[in-house]
Order: sequence, then structure tokens, then C-alpha cells
Amino acid sequence: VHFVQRRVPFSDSTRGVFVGTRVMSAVRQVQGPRGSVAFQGVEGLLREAPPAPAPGCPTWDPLRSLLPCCPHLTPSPHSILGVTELRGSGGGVCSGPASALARWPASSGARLPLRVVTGYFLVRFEGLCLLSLLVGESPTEMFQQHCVSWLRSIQQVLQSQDPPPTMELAVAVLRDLLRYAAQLPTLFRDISMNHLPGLLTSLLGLRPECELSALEGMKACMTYFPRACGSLKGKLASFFLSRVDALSPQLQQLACECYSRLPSLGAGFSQGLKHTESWEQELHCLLASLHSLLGTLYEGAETAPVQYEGPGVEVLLTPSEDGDAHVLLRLRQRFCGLARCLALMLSSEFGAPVSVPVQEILDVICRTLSISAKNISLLGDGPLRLLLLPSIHLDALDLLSALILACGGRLLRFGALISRLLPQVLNAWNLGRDTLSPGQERPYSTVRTKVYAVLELWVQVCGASAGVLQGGASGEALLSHLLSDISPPADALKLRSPRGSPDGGLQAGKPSAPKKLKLDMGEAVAPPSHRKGDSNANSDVCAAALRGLSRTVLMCGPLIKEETHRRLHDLVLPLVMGVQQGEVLGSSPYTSSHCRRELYRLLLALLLAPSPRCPPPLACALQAFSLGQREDSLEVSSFCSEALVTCAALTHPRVPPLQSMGPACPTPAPVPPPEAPSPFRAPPFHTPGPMPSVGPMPSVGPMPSAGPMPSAGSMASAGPMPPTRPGPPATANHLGLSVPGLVSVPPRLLPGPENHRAGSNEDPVLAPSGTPPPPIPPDETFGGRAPRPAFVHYDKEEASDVEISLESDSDDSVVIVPEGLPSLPPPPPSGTTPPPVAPAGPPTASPPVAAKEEPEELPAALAGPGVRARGARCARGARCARAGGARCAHTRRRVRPSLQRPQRGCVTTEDKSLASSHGICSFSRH
Amino acid sequence: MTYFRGVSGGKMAAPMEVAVCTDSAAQLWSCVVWELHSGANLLTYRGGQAGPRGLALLNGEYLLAAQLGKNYISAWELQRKDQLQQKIMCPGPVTCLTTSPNGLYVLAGIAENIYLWEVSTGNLLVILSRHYQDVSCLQFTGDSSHFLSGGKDCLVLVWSLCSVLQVDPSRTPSPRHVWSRHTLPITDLHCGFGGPLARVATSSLDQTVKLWEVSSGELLLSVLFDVGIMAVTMDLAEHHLFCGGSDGSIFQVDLCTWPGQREKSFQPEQDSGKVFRGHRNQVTCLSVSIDGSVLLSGSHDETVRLWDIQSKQCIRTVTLKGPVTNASIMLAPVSMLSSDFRPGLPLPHFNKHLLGAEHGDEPHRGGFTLRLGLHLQGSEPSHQQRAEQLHAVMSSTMEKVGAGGQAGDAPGPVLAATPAPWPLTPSLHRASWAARTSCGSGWPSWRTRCGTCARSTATCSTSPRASSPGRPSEPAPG
Repeated sequence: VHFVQRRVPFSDSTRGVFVGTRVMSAVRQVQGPRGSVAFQGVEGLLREAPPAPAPGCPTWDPLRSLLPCCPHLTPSPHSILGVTELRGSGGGVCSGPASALARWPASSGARLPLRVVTGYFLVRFEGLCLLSLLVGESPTEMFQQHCVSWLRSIQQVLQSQDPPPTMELAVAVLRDLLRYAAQLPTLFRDISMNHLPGLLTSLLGLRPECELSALEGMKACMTYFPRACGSLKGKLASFFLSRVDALSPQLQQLACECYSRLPSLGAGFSQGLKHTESWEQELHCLLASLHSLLGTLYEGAETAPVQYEGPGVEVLLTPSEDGDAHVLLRLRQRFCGLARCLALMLSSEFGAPVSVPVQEILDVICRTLSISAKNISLLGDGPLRLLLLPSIHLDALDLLSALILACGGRLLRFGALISRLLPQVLNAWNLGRDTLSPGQERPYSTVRTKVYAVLELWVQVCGASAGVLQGGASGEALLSHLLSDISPPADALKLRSPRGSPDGGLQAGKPSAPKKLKLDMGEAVAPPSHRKGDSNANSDVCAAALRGLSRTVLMCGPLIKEETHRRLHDLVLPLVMGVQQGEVLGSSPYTSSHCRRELYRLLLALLLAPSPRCPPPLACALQAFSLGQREDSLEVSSFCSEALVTCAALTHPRVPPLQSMGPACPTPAPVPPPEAPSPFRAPPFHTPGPMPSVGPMPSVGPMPSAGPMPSAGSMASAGPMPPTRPGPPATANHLGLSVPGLVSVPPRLLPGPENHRAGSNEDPVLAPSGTPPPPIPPDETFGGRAPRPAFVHYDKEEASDVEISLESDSDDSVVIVPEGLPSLPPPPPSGTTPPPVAPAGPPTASPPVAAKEEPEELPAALAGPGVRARGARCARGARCARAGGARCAHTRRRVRPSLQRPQRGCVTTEDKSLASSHGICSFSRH
Repeated sequence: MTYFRGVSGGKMAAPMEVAVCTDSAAQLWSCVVWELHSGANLLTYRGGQAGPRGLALLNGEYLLAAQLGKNYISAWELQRKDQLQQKIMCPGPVTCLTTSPNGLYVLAGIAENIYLWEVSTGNLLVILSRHYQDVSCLQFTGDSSHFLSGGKDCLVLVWSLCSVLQVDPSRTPSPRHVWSRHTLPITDLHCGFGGPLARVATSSLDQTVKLWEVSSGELLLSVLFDVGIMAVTMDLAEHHLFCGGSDGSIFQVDLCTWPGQREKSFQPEQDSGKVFRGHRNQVTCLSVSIDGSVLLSGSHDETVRLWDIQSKQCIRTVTLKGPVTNASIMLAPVSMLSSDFRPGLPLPHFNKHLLGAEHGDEPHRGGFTLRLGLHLQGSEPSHQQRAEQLHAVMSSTMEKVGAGGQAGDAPGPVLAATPAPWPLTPSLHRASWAARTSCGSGWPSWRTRCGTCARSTATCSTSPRASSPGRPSEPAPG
């Protein structure tokens, strides 16, 4: 209590406040629930302070002794202010509290001796802690009043011989203080004029072990008081420059940050140069230095070195010492530092608009990146140069991304150059990648990761105009690099390929039956578990490649060639399925959840931005996302949930509300005619031979799309399905899963059939043939081969099948028309009365009843599982209920009712192939 | 630009939609801006007459107007209404003008050529001469990746900006799509949202409006009218197509109705509820408000009308002094409303000659004039981040200083009494910090939980081994 009664000198010392008294009285007065934030902070901060050793003992810490009451203090910062002044300032004042402290332990615990030993620092430390809170949380008037004295206290700390951690804290407080002081004009002026040069001088004079703190402090000064630092610009420059090539990354980074701020120092015209001019001059100097460093580092290894011809003069670096062994390392460190300075100059804020010499910067980047490992001789210090090359390339890529970030879409003119540069670097660092076994990180993955990051940034910045992956040799090269980095290692793939056979697919909904998988594993070379390696090797580069690719597809998808889209589908879809079935895991990058999420992101991008001539993999994606939703990794599952919401918007496009069209408009029913299969959905294959002869069947294959389809009525008139046995368990359900989403987009808004003609002509198998094509082994289609006819050939007819009456019905087989096919011929009238045939015309005839599931529930239940499933699924409109036919037109479900499965849990491979080839047509184009 | 818009969001109470109109007489002013819903005249820009489809906003900072029949473009700084700031000289009379939404490029149709300037340097990057008659309308897609041009030669061309910019000088750049299904001159075009996935409506004197898709180049829809169509626009959601006829009627075509037809004709008598009647002469320009409820139309009958789309009623008629050449609805940029606004970048000198060509233009250095660090806006560390950083410094200081002190000459009993050298190991520090920050607001919430039990927290920290991160808020025993 002696302590608290000590009179504290205030800046307005006339008031002569007794801090302690105030504190205590405040404590006494205010015991309310609300406490001052500042004090809460102090308490929290000192929570870790040495506690009382014995449970019964009161805490001895003076601050702590105040603190139990402190949270209830009203914001009366004057009281803390006193404490701070008292303890934070060094020298004479400090001796006071120290002696005051000495009296404290009498009533407290045994920690005292320790405290007395370290008391000096701790007191200062506590002062700084309090000051940090005060600076942050004091109101403006108070801050304005005391800022200068606080600044002086900090300066005293800086001039003292305190240990580096205290300095660090002091500088942290200083930074905050300067940040707020710069916002108040009078304070700003005062500090600029009177205090800043002194402060900088003391920072410059800090001991070498406090170098980091010194740089932090200078950076704060330069950031908030750039004008005032102008007078010391030269000194600062040489200080920073001597540390730009520091070996400690932290120190180097700070030195570079500070160096890059130099041009904005001083008044508008410092030494006859405007800020912008000095910025440009500095930039050119850095460019010149980089060129010359590069020349020295890779003398003779460059085929045709670009010479710098700009106005810049080399930055004066301290001449390297004789130690010949390290000269190359030193040069590399310099190159790194200067390149980083340049990048920081480009990417940090600058007050005035500047003119960025893009061509010159690109020149140095290209020169660096075109140094190839092949041209470096392996004699002498060649190997060392070779070893340093990847890091040099990394620096150049960092510079490139800074340039992209700074210039944004303006770089479009140089887009061709950039998209050539990226595959070039990938090519350069592609050595010896295939020889490694899985579980081992491939070489140069850092450089490759960086390249992909640059690619992503470039597409982020330029969007669809980035022009990446749009053909050309460089696009092809980039694509193949991307694909190779995305593909899981080879023997993991081997596991996947031999799975499944036609009947294997028939067996069960789980094509990856464990028995089968084991067998395959037995055939594999060596179980990955017996190998040394990282389980998630190459996951960084894989994730980066996926990110770059998905961003590119998302932004430029419609501009990317159809062929490329197909290749991506062929890689991504099996990969997703394989990952979900745990097959590609082993020691592939996809053990990392980050990679898996990026894979899903790529799938989503493929779905959202398809090529106009290659339908997106909607059904597969739906399946993949709903499986992915169940992953344990929250990162992945939450992404999949988000993606499913997006997919839901695709599959159920919103129809504009009726009301907005006004009562005056003779608006047709809002529900689109369910039968009109859009030409977009017209499958690129033909119905087998006898089919064309069926009556109302429109021309098969790609169809002209004018008007509603004539088949609309015929389809609706299909008779109700007789409920039958559950049907074949596995394969039968698969088609029902690939529910197309395209129900309400007017067909006229979709591009005409000519879009798909090309695609359908590509595969000769798709040409019409006399007999239904044989069933395709599921994995063959899904594993990346061309799309196959989607007809399923069943050997036996089943009661639940709707038989299509073919005039030349010589075959016993039943043709099941999969979803997506234009239409079905009217089935033979069955025993029950067919429902009234819907008119073939526009749906205006049918009232737009928003049919719910409930009304259908009862008859469905009576009719049996098949019908019920249909009824339950089709909540689209009354039309469907009335049709009650073989096929629910809205969801375009398959004929066989047993296809229904309670959930979309599982897709057989056949389904996948189907979906990947046709179901995908359902992408909504709006 | 987004930066400035962001600032405006804070200042203004609500986004303000304004109508920007020009007429070809321009007796008092060349361009007038009025508040859309109240009709209050906000400001005018003076000097010259803007030609049809010749008004464009550059970067939210400048207003550009192609002068009717003259070979220059006027540029006003948006906040300085009455002084004509700069004239951009062009090789010939500008027939249409547009700017890219990202503010980086200016496109002008001059006779049958399209000129493309880069705003950050002022360089004339390319001259496209693919049309063989005058270019009548130009527009960028919303993401600035493509632009479209329509001409009197009945062609609509879709250009990909990146291929236009990167073509080597020896080859002439070619458009991505050539749409040649119109049979008479193109009068207007409108590009919807979606960048490369956008849909484009084009109108022509051949009495049709056609809807196209940029990604595939397909014709999606063609609507035949009784009269030539002079202007076309869509609402943002692309539910309706509005077509201004040469007889003064405006037709509304619903895009989301059934049955869908690829070709259809619009019968005014049948679709009487879809015609806006009121203009007495041909409609020259159309624009829809952001919410899709109001349509603005300008006509050769010297009026600008505002329509309620739902009821087809005319809400307001503004009479100008001459045939209306431009009328569009836009969100008012900040610079338009605050006079103390300054453009972020000076308008460059626009070169008259192609970049790289050997002409007398002042050679520009290759540098792009730009503002640096805009991408860093808003990425300053937050309060909590700073607090955490400070806390880290404090903890490390405490640790080092404390440890140093103890290593010095701390008496034995003290050590015995406090087995742990210092309260928390770094990892515990972090954990406890995480526990604190996870409360949402950092320190205070911690404080409120343990305010009454400073002792207990103290006990916890004496024996770090016993205290798990989840337990520090245990109630005090006494």
C-alpha cells in the first residue's frame, strides 16, 4: 500500500494524482460486473505469472494483487497510466518502484528473491505490457495527451541494455503506438519533427543481437512516418542492403521489406526526385543488379543472355570476401534478396501511381527461367551452380507472381509468354520423376508447386482471358504435366484397373467387393506397407496442380477444347471413384484430405464450366459428392456438401415465377412439358435396328429441336407398371441414379444438335447397327474409354419390364430404353385402363398443379413398390401422375421399377459409364 | 475500382440508381444524369453531342462520349461536371464506343474498324478490320474476356480479348465466332452475364432479334417482329428480352416460357400485354434497372420514358432537346456524387497510331501506369491477430527473462516450491491461448469465466502437467 500511495508524476502534473489511491478507490467504488477491457487484458496477460507457491499464501505480485479487483475497475486509464509511467520508464523513476517492490514481499510468498533478481527487467516488462494495452485501448484524447511521453519511454528502453526479448516487446508496442499516432495530425507532425529521427537513430544503434527488433522498428517508422524518415534514407539504405543477403530467412525477409519501402521515404521531392521517379529508379537498379548477378552466377551456362540496357545502375552491395568456397552461395543469397526486394516493391502499397516497366521485369524473369540445367557443365563448381538453380528459379517465379499480382489483367498482352513460360519450367524440372516408387517425394516438387501456384494466380487474375490450356504446343505440355502430377503413382493405379467384370457389376451395388480387391492386391508387386516412404508424398504438388487446373477449368472451361475436357473426365471420374473406394489411397497423394478436396473441386469445376460440345459429368458428380459428403475429413465432407447445393441448383433450375409475367400475358404453364426431350439430351447414339420403324417415334439420334417433341403424348400414355418382384438386385438400379436435371430449360435455348453430332461421330461403335450392341464390361467404359451405347441387354425378360413393341419382334430380348433417350413408343395396352393420354401439344392444357408426393402416396402404395417409387420421385406435376406410365418423364427414370433404390448410395460401373457418356447431357445450360 | 466502390458502400445510405441520357442536339449540356426513381436532376456534363451507343463509363472515374460525327472522344472526370477535361483524338468519326468492365481497355468503332486502346499506357494495341461496313455497336462481356461487335454488314463478331491481344503482327486476328444469320444491318446488341457462358441478344433491321450463346456460338432463339428492331436489352436475370421497334413500340419477349421454339414470331395483337406503347418514333436505346422492375427507353421522339415492366405503364417521361442517343441505367459511382473525389489514375494520352508502328507519336515507355498494392486492401491484421502476436511476444519475453533470472541465482527453496520453471510450456501457452481465443473475443471472455478464481488459474499454471488445456477454468476450491 505504500506503493499505491506514491505520487506519480503525470504529464499534467499539476493535478498530482495519487495513482494508488485512485486505483483503490476505484476498486472500492466499482464492483459491478463490467470491467475495463484493459484490465482484463492485463490480467489475462499475467495469468501465467508466477503464482503463489503455497495454496494459502496471497499472491505477492503487486499487479496481481490489484488484479482480482481490477476487472471491476471502470475505465480509468489514468490509474494504469500512472503505473506505467512509474514502471515502464527506465532510469531514476524505475528505481523507485523497484524499492517499492522490495517492500512488497514482506506480506507475500517466497517467490520474492527471484523477483528481486529479475525485478528490473520484469518491472520494465510489466510496464511494457501495460503500455501495450494502453496504446491499443486508450481513448483518443488520452492517447493524444500521453503519446509523446510513452514514445520517450519506449525510446529509453531502446537505448537501455535490456535483453533482446524486452526489445522485441518494446518494438511491438512502438509499432502500435506509431500506427495510432499517424492518425492524429497534430501528433503526427510533432513526432515527425521532433522524435522520429532520434528514434531511428536509436534503432540504428541497437546491438547486433537485437537486429530483428531494430528492423521491425524501422519498418514501423517507415510505414507510418515515411516523410520523416527521409533524412536518414541513405543510412537506412545501407543498413538494409547489408542485411538483404542475410542467411537467416527472417532477417532477410525483414531487410527486404524495409528496403522495398525506401523509395517512399522523404517528402514528395526528396533529392530532386519524386517518389514515383525514385521508385522507378530503384526498380531499374534492382533489375540491373539481378542481371549482373545472374551473369556471374551462370556465366557460360546461358545460351543467349539478355543484356540489361535500362537506365538502372547496380545496387552497391558489400563486396564479397575472398572466401572462394562460399562466393557462389553468397551470390545466390544476394540474388534471392534482391529478387525479393523487387517482388516486394511490386506487391506492397505505394502512395502514388507508378509506371511498371513490365517488359524489363519479364526479361529478367525469362532470362532466369531459361537457364537450363543441361547447359551447366559439371566441372569445377558446376555441380554447385546446378544445385542452386532450383532456388534461383523459385525466386524468379516469386517475382513473376508479384508482377502478376501487381499488374493484373494488364499483363494480358504478355499472356502468351506466360503460358509458354510455365510449361517450360515444368519441363526443366521434370528429371527423374518416373523412376521413383510411390511414397517417395519426387524431385523438384517445390519448383513445380510454385509453377502451379503461379498458374492459379494467373487465371485468378485474368479469368477467362488467361488463355491457358487452350490448345497449342504449350497448352498441351502444360496439360500433360498437370495430369502427371495429379495421377496417383503407378502401382496404386494397377490396383484399380482389373476390378469388375460384366457379371461382377451385376453382383452387387459395391463393385469394389473386398474379395476382388484382395485378389488384385496379391497381384501387385510389393505391398506398399513394406516400403519406406511418406504416406502423403507428393501431396503438395498434387494439390497445387489440382488447384491450378480446377481454377483454369472453372474460368476458361467453355474455351478449353472438347478433347481436353474428355481427357480430364477420363482421369478425374475414375480417380474420384477410386479414392472413395479407398483404392488409390495406399501411399498416393490422395491420402491427404487437402488433395481429395481439391480433386472434388476439380470435379465441380468440370461440372460447372463444361465445354459446349462435351456434356458435363453431372450424374457421376452427384454420386461422387454424395459419397464424399460422408467422408470423415470435415474439410472434404463440407466441400462436398457445398458442391451438392450447387448441383441441386443445376439439376433443379429455377423457373421464373408466374406472377412476374403479369396476368395479361397468356402465359403457358410454368412447368415445362415433361416429355420434350431437349436436343441437348438427345443421346449421341442410335436406337438399334428395328426401332426406327415405330410409329410416333421421332428421328433418332440428334434431333432438330424446333418445338415440342411429337413424342410427348405417346410417352405419357404408357400404362401403369405391374408391380413385380424386386428385380435384379444390383445392376438394375443403376440407371435410375443418373437422373438428369434438365427439366425446365426450354429446348430452344439449347444449342442445336450439330453440337453433338461431332461427338457422336467420333466413335464408330455409336453408329446404328442392326442388333443391340453387346454389353460393355463396365470398367472398360468407365476406365477412360469412349462412351458406349447405353442399352442394356437383358437375356431374360422380366415381368416388370415394359416391352417395347417392335414390329419385327424376332428377338426375345428386351430393350430397355435408358433415360435420356428421346422417347418410347407407346407400350401395348395392359390390362388396366390407361390414363387419359396427355395431349402432345404444349402443356397449357394441363393445369400447373404442384403435385406433392402425398396425393400419389396412396395409389402408389396400392400399386406396389415400383409405382410408388415412381410416384414418390416425381413431384413435378400432375402430368406425370396422370401418365402413370412406364416412365416418369420428369425424372426420366428407367422403365424398370425395381431400379429404385432408397438412396443414391451406389453406382455400378455400368451406370458410371452410362452417366459419363450420356446422363451428363442433363447439364442445365442456363 | 472495387476499392472505391467499397468506400462508397460505407458512405452512402443506399445504392443509387441513376439514368444517364444524351441527345443529339445537346443545346445546354451533352449528358444529363437524373435519379431514377425521383427524377431529380443530379448533374450535367457539358461539351459536344454524344453519338448513339457512344457513351461509356471508364473505370468509374471518367465519362467518355464519342462525338456525333466528329473524330474525337470527350472525356470528363466524373466529379467535375462542367469542364470538358480531355479530348481523345481519333482517326475518324467514332460510331460506337465501349469500355471494358475492368477499366483496362477502350474500344471504339471507327468506320468499319475497331480500335482497341490500353488504358494503363494509352497505347493503341490493335485495329481490327473484319467488318466491311460501319461498326454500329460494341460491347464487352461482363468479365472483360470477350467483346462483341455488330456492324452494318449484318455481321456480329465475337472476339476473344486474349487472342486479339496476342496475335502476332503478321497475322490478322480472327474472331471467335462470326454470326451471320441477320440479313440487314445490326442495330444493337446486349450481352448478358456469365463471361464466356453469356448469352447475347442482337437486333437488326431485318425485324428479328436473335439470342446467341457465346460459349458455343449457337443461335438459341430468333424472334420475328413486324417492324425493324432498333434496340434490345435483357433484364439481369435474363427472364425477358426487350426490343425497341422502329415504330416506337417496345416488345417484351419472355424467355422462360413454354413451349419453347427456336424460331418464333411476335404478334402484337396476340401478345398485346407485352407491348409498351407510348413513344411516337423509333426507340433507340433501352435499359433495365437492377431489380428488373423498371425499363428506361429513349426515342427519336426526343423523350426518355420510364416504364413499369409489370404493368407496362409509363411512369415518367422526360423530354430532351433532340433525338435521344443514349439512355442507360447505372449504379451511381462514388465519384459522381462526391465532388472531392479524385481519379486514382490520370487518363493517359491515347495514341493515334498502333503500338510498334513507326509514327510520330510520343513513344511511351512500356510501363503500365498503375496503383500498387490495391490487392492488399483489407488484408491488414485484425485486432485479434495483432493481440495474438503481441501475446506471443510477451510470452516469449517472459519465458526468456524468467528463465534467465532463474538460471542466475534463484534460491533453492523457491525452485523447490515451484517445480515448473515457468508457468506454462510453450505448447500449453498456445493451448491456453487457443482456449481463450476460442471464446470468441479473446481475453475478455476468458476473464469473465475465471474472474472469480484467479487462484485456481494460478494453481493450474503451477503444475502444467496436471493442467490440461481444457481445464484451466476449473472453479476454485475455496
